[in-house]
Amino acid sequence: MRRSRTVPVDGAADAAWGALAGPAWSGPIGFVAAGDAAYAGTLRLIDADEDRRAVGGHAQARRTTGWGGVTASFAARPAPGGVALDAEIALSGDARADDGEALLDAVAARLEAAVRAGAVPAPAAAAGSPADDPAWRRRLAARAVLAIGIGAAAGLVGARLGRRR
Amino acid sequence: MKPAPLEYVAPRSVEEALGALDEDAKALAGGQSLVPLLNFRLARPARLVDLNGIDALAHLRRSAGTLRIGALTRQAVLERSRLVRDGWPLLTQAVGHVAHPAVRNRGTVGGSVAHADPAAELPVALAALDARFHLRSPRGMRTLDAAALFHAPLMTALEADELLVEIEVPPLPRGAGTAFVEYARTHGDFALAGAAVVRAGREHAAVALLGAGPTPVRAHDAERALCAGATAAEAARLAAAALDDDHRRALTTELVRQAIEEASA
Repeated sequence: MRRSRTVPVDGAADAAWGALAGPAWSGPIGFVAAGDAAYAGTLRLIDADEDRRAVGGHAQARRTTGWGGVTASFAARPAPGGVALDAEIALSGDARADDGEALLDAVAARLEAAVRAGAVPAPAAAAGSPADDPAWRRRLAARAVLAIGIGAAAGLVGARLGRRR
Repeated sequence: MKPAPLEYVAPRSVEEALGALDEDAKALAGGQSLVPLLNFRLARPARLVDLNGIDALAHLRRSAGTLRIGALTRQAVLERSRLVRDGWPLLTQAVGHVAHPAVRNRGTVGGSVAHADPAAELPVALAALDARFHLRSPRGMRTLDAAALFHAPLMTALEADELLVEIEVPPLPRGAGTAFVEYARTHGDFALAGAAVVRAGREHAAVALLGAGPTPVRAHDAERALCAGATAAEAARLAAAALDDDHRRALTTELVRQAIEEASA
């Protein structure tokens, strides 16, 4: 799905372009979408068109709990009143349209901060890795115990059948 | 197997990297070709100079109409770039044939060029686009075209203390069409043959061949013939005429014909 918006930023277009064309706003990204679905991923500067004063970027994030991912390929350029953002959003798994909007909100917030500050260093991922989530680890442990149990049972049955032969 | 013992250096600037490069050193970019060579101990450098911390080499931008690709630009970035897709579609077409997404996520454009594998797609596409390669050493900068850079399989004009820092690709002629076609036994495998074509009516034609020689080969006879009004089939026969092997000649002829027709459509 295609989405466009203008990120309101005060200041000169030159300053906005200077911040956009720098790599400082790339890095880990994290956000919480509607329904408390937490996402973690990365935001990358792909290309910079100095002739047209536009940058291309790519953001992708996965749910830290559950299955789902959102990606956005976007173009950003200084425009009257801020930075114009045109994005193509793709969803996978359990991700919903609102989650795509939330990713775009996170990208817009990062761009806004970068333009306001000139260029800000990329913060650490807010939502962190799935491995840091206790609920996710408990579910993984339960699955591991189940898999080991099934494997052990299959081994015992196999050994018993082998003895009968 | 694991690599033979070596010294690992991670410079943060091009100057630092140049200071660490010498006869016994190898530059590491994406590592998709070099690391297997190290693991099989086919390459045994005393020092590995990891370029991945040099942000100045990872850029992709258009400036005054020219595309500038930093040597550390990932192949996946090239593939995703709308700027490249709109202005230099041949690169997008070619990079899609490079191995698999996992390799392209890590592999770099500069690494593919410096490795100079005769079956690599990007050097062939860059040769067709008349790209220029900027090399830097403690002695200064020099710029070469593809014919001067690529010497033999896995051999380039790069000196031991020299680093490929940027690739410059001029804009395509107005109205140009492009195509990249290759044949590999399985998807993602090294191609047996291939062709990259840029065509703008009778004003401009560039045909570069993959797998037709030890380096990317420009088929100048075919290019001249296209500009003189030859058909795709006639130009394709000229492009592959120098190949000795019957199978490779037939394959290359067909791939070049397909590429010319696709670029002309």
